[in-house]
Amino acid sequence: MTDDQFSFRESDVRRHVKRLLQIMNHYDLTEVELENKTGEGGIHVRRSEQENYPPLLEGRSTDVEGEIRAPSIGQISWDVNTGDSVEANQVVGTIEKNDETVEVSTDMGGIIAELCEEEYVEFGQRIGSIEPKQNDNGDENDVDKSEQEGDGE
Amino acid sequence: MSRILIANRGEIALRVIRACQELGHEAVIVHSEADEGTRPVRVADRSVCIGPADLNSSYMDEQSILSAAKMVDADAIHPGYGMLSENAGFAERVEESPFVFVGPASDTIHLMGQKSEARARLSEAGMPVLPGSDGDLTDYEEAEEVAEEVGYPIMLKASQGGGGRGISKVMSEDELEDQFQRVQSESEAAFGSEKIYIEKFIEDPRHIEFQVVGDGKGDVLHLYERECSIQRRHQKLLEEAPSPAMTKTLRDDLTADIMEALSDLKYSNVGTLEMVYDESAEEAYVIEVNTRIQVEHPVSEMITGRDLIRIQIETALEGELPIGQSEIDRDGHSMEVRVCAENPHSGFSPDQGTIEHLNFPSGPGVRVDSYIETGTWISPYYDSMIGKIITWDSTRSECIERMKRALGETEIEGISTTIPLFEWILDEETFRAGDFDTGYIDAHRDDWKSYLGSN
Repeated sequence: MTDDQFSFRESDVRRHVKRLLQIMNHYDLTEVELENKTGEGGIHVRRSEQENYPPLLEGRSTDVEGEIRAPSIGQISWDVNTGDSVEANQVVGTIEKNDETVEVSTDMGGIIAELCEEEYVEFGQRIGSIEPKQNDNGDENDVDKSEQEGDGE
Repeated sequence: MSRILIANRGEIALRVIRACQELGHEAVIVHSEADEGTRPVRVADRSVCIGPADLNSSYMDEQSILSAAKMVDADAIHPGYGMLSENAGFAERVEESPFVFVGPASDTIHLMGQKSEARARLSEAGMPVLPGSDGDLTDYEEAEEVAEEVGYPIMLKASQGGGGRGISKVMSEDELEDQFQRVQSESEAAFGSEKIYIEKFIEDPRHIEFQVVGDGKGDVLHLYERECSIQRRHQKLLEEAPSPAMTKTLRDDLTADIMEALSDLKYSNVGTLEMVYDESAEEAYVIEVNTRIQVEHPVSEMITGRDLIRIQIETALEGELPIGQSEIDRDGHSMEVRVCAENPHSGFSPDQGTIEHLNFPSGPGVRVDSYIETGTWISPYYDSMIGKIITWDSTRSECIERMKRALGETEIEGISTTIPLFEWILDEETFRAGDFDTGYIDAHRDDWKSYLGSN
């Protein structure tokens, strides 16, 4: 088939374009490039992050489940201790950034596993961690096992 | 040994780190998340991440910088240029803290930031200033009166302006009312103040500036002048020292006036007196004093053999000038081009991307002040200037040839840069003859556009 013989039905084109846009949206793509007609080239795609944001070496702003990262530079003080049970979005400490106070909160509920003991922390520094609560079967994210078993002995 | 916190990024951060280390001080750099792993961060003795990429949440966040200074137990804070360097409020907060501010006193920064007030003070101190309003304009009626007295064309300027914003040329009385309102609104939007003033407009003057350093007690020295007339939209592109237009008599007269005026003002640390020079009338006027180290400081260093950043740090820490005027000689000619990640083929729009290949020039009389390396990501968050190429030689013409050689050796792949424009300038006849002014880039628009289009 030559280029001249190519013909598209408008409804097919709309359907394919719509599907392509859905795929791009799903994968956060900003660009899809088909190299050539013979299939020798290939498909190149680009995600929006690649275009707009620098490649962060440590990704200090990236949320990692179970990690508590410093939302600010400054002097930290904790309102909780390791082993304490916490809820999602609970304020667990504060950072004094010179004259300002910045709250440190959790992104998930669970048990405080680690808290940093440093006086000063940098922005984005990993300053603590939370482990999911476990149920009787050892499954995560259920009722705190220690609460169920603790006083039964 | 002192510990100096550097509250800046990019090439100036690296420049300050080098001076600190050469003086035996410890250099601590603050950085944003986007600058993690960059060369200045690696070269510093210590680094502290203070916030995300956004300027206002990192380099411009006073609380974060003061907190970082406390964290590392710094002795002094060097603001570099731009960022917080001319923020009088920040300088005052540093002065009230246990840290030394490596820059002028906060009240000097405040005074020089109020352009109309600064004009009045400099005039009182004996410096020639452009004819214009005495301080800020109180209302439109006063603007009409002053403009009539000074004579059109005039410039309306934001009192707290800078960087080419909040400025408008008014050709006649018919335009005054509209321009008055426009500059007031622009000033309010950009600088948070509606205060504006009038200055006589001089058609395409030369922009010449003098480098000074003071100890805050009346002792002042200068490092001669720089010629900064090659500008595009009020942004300097290429600077050199000495100025091709400067005569010995004019230089001697101006430096004598400057020393006296700044001694009266008890000026401290580094500063630059920016002047417009009307070559036809052989008159020079001060337009403002920049209370920071300037991007183009290397050309002064190259012709004097002095390190301005070291002088700046030593003056701030010791409270006195480390050298005297008699120890500052001038030799040869120096030139600097600002290499920006901009696309000259599409209206100099900022370019972004990763430096895929890099080869900076070297050899006799060539200096490169830059922080980039292969793999550096030129991000959209910060200024487009990625470095400066500086040359020195015995004469101006030799210095131009050396710069041409240096640019020819430069290989930067992955982003567009302003280098092709400099290649055109360095070969252009009137530039080579030293016969140019601040209207140069506009006047030759067709020529350089044509050159860029075919290269």
